[in-house]
Amino acid sequence: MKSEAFKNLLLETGDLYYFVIRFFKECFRPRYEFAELLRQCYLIGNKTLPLVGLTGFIMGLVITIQSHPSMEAFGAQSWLPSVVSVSLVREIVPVITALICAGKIGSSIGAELGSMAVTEQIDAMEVSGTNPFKYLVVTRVFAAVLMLPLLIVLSDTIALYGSFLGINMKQVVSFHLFTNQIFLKLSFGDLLPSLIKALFFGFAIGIIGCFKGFYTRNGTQGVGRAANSAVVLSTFAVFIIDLVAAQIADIFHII
Amino acid sequence: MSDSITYSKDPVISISNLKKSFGNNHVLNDFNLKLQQGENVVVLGKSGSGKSVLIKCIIGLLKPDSGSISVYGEEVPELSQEALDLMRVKVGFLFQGNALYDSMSVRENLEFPLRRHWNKQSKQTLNELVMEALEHVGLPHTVDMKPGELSGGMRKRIALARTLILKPSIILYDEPTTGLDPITAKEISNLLVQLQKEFNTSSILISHDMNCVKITANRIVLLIDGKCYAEGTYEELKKSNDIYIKQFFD
Amino acid sequence: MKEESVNRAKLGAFVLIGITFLVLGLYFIGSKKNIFHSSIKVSANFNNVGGLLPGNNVRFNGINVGTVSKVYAIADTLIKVEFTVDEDQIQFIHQDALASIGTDGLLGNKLINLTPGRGKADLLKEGFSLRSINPLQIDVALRTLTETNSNLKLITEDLKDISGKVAGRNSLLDLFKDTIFASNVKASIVNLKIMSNQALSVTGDLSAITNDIRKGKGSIGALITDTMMSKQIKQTVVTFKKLSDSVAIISGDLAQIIKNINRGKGSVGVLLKDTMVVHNLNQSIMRIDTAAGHFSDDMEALKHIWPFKKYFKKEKK
Repeated sequence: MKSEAFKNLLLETGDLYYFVIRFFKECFRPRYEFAELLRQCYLIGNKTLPLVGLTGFIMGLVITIQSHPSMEAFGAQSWLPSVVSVSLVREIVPVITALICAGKIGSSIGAELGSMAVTEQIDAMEVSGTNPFKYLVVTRVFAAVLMLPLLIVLSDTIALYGSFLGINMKQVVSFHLFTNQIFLKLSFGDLLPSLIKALFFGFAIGIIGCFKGFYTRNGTQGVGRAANSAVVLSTFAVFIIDLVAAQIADIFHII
Repeated sequence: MSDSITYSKDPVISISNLKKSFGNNHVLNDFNLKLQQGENVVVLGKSGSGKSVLIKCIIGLLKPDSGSISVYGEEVPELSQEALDLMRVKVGFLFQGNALYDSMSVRENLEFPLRRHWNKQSKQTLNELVMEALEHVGLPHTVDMKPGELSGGMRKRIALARTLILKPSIILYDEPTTGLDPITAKEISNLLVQLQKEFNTSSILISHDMNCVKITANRIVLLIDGKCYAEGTYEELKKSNDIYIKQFFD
Repeated sequence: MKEESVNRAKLGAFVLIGITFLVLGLYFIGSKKNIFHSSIKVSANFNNVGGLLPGNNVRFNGINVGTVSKVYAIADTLIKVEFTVDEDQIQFIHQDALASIGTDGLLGNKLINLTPGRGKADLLKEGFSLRSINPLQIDVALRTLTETNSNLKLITEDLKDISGKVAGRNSLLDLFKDTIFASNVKASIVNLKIMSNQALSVTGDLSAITNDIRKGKGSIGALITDTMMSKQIKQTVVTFKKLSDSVAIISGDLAQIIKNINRGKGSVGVLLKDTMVVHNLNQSIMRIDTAAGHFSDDMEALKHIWPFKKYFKKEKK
């Protein structure tokens, strides 16, 4: 039983590997599905923004309120904006956004492609002269890769505004001073790695969702399982990428 | 065109020694079939006997392990992607579960193969073709609805319209009456025959619904254990005393 | 179809807003890091940079003008610091400017402070090496201060003793007959002199510190942005000065007394009749008492000021 599970793990890893290879082969060959790409960008970008924005706002507010007492103990309340903004921009917002997207985008891609697979819609596309891999997978993965950094930038902005409100609950800091303080401490080394990381988050979420959906079997039950495992696996992937990114940033001294 | 079936010399589809297995399950084992121009062949078999696998091999969705499938003289397993796409314009496929795209309206569903196979069509031509196809199946009013809003029979008709919109000369039907009530099933079967006469298509039809078979079949092929077990018209097979054949007709 | 185009417009808005914020963020970060500005490279040598790192700020009279690019040792006691200065800022920075290591706020990063010189020199040029001031060794100043403190305590005790003796005996004659006492007084005066010298040097150190504080340079200068604290330190220094003044006066008085005693050998009566002397002596001792009181108060106050607190704690151990 155990060796069976292990064998399945190996098989799945191999399949995923071929899936990724196929993605890179297909995505540079014409015919490009621009209309579908834009549609997916809209679905992934705009439709996820309210959720991501709300989460970002709450995180900014909460982290600020939570950090206030300990900063106060050091008499360093005036450092609150810079400290909170660095931790928000570097780590909290990208990861929280990616997790939200893993939940929302991963499950919707997994379920959509899954149900298309079991109702033969993918075959129907193939028969209709469309490469379903290009039409379904490449567009979704690309859309996720393109939209995640933008979502994170917007979420950063909203989270910093939340942090501004959080600081003003305890002390009075003008918006001008607040922005000056955060940009004094923020560096390219804080923002750019988080955006590069976002590209990988987007890729992982998109490709895992598509992989799980594309090879769905066993009817509606399979669809549920595909959606579920897409979320679980992409959430896990987000953390792994985050870990690797932190180590790479450390190696190259991107402080 | 006369109503009588005219057999030309060369078959439009000829399958010989087709083998396909999934793991240890030999679904098709030395299967042979020839489809003549204008003919309507029904492949009869139990569920899981490999009927769907057979037509998916013909359309190129599955690759056979060995054997030859030739459509209009071209070997399907050896076709390039481009040639396969060209072949698929001539060969239509009606899926068992309709396979309508849930996220698109009926119009977009019908336009999909048009846009794909024939690039650059004016909006007007597209619209005309869509409406024409919908009129053939008697559902022009559903054009702006989503598949989810339609009944099972209507969805089947829309799927049929989507298959017909490219005006294929061969149509492969995968269990066209499954999941429909007997009355709708009969309507669909009659529609198939009517459309076949109208468009002068040849077709392979997979079914285990004997009512549908009776209405549509010119010739029946019985698929048992991956082989062509028996062949003949509905009446011929009905008279047979073979146990396996009798199972279907009782 | 209509819905599709509306969605595309929304997507366009989303992308545009996202890119706008991205560009704005990058711009604000960049305007601080001066990556989009052209700058020149200059350097300065220090004995000790106190943990300065590449990327730390360079400030000229308190405004950011550049960043540290490299820190490395060029000899066993010499650290070379290379840093960039914005081209649009160098029009006010001359070659005689002084570089010093400072700290940004209480817990802040190290930084380099540039203080303008007399302004007669040429403007800063690429590759120029600036003169530097090494960080003020506040530890050393404090160590002397404590030594002085204990000495003062000793002297005060001696003087108390004297005043006790003076108060206890009616006759000053007896007092001055007592040669041991006389030698004690002598010793006290010697101690007092030493102490007053030390106090003077400490006062010098401290006034240097306050000067720096006033100018806002040096590590402690940047550190103490709190005006209250610098006021306290200033006050301490002032009292210190007062104290050393009084010590000088007292020692002068005492020297006078001793002189009189020495001169009046055999004619103690003359001396003793001189009520002025007795009065003076009394007053001197009283003065010293108050001064000592002030001083210990000051030391107490000093102990509570943050930068010294740690030092005193260490000293206790």
